[in-house]
Amino acid sequence: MPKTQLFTHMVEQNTSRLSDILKAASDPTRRAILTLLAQEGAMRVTDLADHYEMSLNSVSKHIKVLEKAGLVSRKTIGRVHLIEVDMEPVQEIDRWFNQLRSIWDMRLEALDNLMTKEPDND
Amino acid sequence: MTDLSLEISRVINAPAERLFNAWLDPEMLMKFMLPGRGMSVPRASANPVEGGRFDIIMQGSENEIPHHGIYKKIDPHSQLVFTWQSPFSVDDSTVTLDFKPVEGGTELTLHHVKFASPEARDNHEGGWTSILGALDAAI
Repeated sequence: MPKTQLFTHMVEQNTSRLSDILKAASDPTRRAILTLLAQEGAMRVTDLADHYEMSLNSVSKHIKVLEKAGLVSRKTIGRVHLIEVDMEPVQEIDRWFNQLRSIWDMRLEALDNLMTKEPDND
Repeated sequence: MTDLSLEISRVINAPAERLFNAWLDPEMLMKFMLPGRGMSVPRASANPVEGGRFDIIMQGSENEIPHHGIYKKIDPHSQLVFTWQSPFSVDDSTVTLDFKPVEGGTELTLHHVKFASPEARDNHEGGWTSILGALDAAI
């Protein structure tokens, strides 16, 4: 069934990506970094480290996790290396939620049909 | 933008008791807990007590997609709370169902909450809402 294949494909493809995104954002420090980048725009790693009074090494580790999830990317302007936030994975979360919503909608519709269109077996 | 929870409701022309019991009965679960349109649930089982487990095996194109959960609260016939796990859910999540008698049947409200982590669940501030709000404002 094409619809069945489509569903399974969509689910499998999105799962590992979503796990990366949700794991990346499950840490309060990384959430703070994301929020700061969203508010302030692209920043240098050293500025991020200063802002949170963290070592460059620990900030770099957090950035790597965010980068793997696609939530931040690196760009270079001249000789300055900047980290910037990326909106795209957020849309992935939206899509995932819309999909989840439509599945529950469908189940409630099926329950409705079951309750109202079939004879009561009780 | 969005939070890690969703809520939908529907008025169904059936008594709350019948509607409530459908969520505890494997025969009924097999008929409506579908993974997609035109798809099937070949097997389901349920131990309908608080702390009891249910299993719903959904059939995908090639693979079976097992779902399971634990009934956390069974309050006949007004509220049902259960955890929800599937191979594709990234973490624990909880579904709360509220049953309210209304004109024309019963209003069923489903609230599904997914959390990024137990830590995120316990720490409401600084959660997804604020990040997504900040990202949204930054577009």
